[in-house]
Amino acid sequence: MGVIRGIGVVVVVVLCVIVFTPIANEASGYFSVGSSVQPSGAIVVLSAGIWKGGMLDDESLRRTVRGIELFKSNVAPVIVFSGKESVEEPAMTEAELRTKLALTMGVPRDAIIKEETANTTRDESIRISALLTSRGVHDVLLVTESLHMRRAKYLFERTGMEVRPAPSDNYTVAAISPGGRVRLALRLVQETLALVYYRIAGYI
Amino acid sequence: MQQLFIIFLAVLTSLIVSATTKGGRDTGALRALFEWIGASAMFVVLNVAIGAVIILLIRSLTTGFVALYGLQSLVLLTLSLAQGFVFQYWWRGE
Repeated sequence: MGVIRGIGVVVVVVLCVIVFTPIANEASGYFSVGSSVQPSGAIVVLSAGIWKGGMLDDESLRRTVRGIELFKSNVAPVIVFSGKESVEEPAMTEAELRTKLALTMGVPRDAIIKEETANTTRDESIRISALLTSRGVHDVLLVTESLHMRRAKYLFERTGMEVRPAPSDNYTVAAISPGGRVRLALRLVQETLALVYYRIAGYI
Repeated sequence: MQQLFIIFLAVLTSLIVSATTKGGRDTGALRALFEWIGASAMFVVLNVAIGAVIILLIRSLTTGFVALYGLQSLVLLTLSLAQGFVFQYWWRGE
C-alpha cells in the first residue's frame, strides 16, 4: 500500500502545482505554434466536432469563425471546411454546418471546399492536400487549436504543403482558472502522447 | 485569487464540520485518502492505456473507426475513482 499511497501523494502534489502555478501555461507556450498569417493558396479549417441537433461544438465554432475571419481579410481565395458526420448527428456533416455558417456570414459558395470523409488529422492532411494540389494550391493557412497545431502542421508538411499556422485560440494565455489549467495540462499530455504515437507509426 | 478562495472554502467547511461533529481525528483518514487517489490514478492510466490499445486494434483489424477522443470521458474518470476506492479498501483488508 506504500507505493499506492506514494502515487497518491505525487498526484496531489502535481495537481497542486498545476492548479496554483502557471507551469501548464509556460509548458503550453513552448508547445503551441505561433500564428504566421500571410497570403496563401487556401485556408484549411480542421474538424473538431458537432453536437446532436445540428450544432457545431465550441471548438469547431471557434475554428470556423477564425477561418471566416481570415477569408474576410482576403488572405486566401478559398476556404476548406473539414468534418464528417457524427454518431450523434448522422444526417449532417460538420463541413456542411460550417458551410452554412460561412454562407450566412457572406462567404461566397464557390470559395468553399468541403472535405466530409476524414476520420483523423492524418486523414484530413492526406485528403485535403490531394484536393488542393489538384487545384494547384501548395501553401495553406492552417486553422486549428493551438495545441493541436504542431501535429497538424507536421502532417500537412509531410504531404508537401507549405503550412502557415493560424491558431484559433491562445489557451496559453486564456487558461488561468484552476479548471482551465488542469484541462490545459491534460491537453498537453494528450497531444504529447499523440505526437509520440504518430512518430512511432511513421506518420510524421 | 480564485485559487485562494477555493482553499479558503475547503478549510472553512472542514473547520465548521470539525467543530460541530464528534468523533476521533484519526490521521489514518489522510493515508486512506492518498491511497484512494493513488489507486484511482493507477486505474485511470490502465483504463486509458488498455482502451487506446483496443481502439487501435479495432482500427487496424477492421474497417470500423473508433475515435481515441472517446477516452476523454468523465464517466471513465468516475469509474476509475470507484475502482480505486473499492480496490484500495480490499487491499487494506489484506
